[in-house]
Amino acid sequence: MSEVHELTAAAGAADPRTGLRAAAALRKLAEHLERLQVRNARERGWSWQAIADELGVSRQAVHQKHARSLRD
Amino acid sequence: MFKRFGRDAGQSVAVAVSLARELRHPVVRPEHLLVGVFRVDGVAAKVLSGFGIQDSDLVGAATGGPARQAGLADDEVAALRTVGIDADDMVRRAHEAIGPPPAVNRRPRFDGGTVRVLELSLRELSRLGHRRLGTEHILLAVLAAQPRLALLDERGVSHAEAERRVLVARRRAG
Repeated sequence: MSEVHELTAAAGAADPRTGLRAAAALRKLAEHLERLQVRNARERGWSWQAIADELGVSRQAVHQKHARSLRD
Repeated sequence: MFKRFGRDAGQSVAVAVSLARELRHPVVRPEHLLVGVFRVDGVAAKVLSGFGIQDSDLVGAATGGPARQAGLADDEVAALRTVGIDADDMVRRAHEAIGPPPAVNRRPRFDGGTVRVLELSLRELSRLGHRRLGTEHILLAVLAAQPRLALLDERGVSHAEAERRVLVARRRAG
């Protein structure tokens, strides 16, 4: 990255608007990745409990969040 | 809101939603709307063609990068870049390794920009003194909204010039 780009990037990261937007976007990315991998795990025969263990949440939580969208 | 929408305008919204689904975008953006107004045979399509814009240009703008399939907007991708994350690259790798993005089960929702464009189209309608909302009012609303779409800027499609051509096209249509 050129020096100008680095400075621009640094300034952007310090700005709350950009930083907060980045945080919100990271959450969206994490959600997308989770959705992909939950489906991946289910296709490989993982139980909801096993998936929940990896995600560090309860079985009910992961089932409630993902079961409906995986039904079809 | 859709009460004043003529059949063509309503159809272009439906096309936009359908395109978002097809692209596996959970969110409908003004770029999808633009494809919608282009694909419905109306005044907007004529005006856009007159600027040399083709379906592939508009679909390209609507498709964007892989991060869009994770529901990210361009400004969010840019924001992540400032903290050293390439969202498009991350999503692309995930899709390559894990499989295609899931189909959008729920109806794709309109983002704030799209809602604003649809509201602005009603304003364009009344500003021009027209009665029935057509695809041309949606097009003018897209041009009036901020931020402006890069593709339209690149092709020199200004609101003023588009409006001029819309009025000419409407007169010709009779």
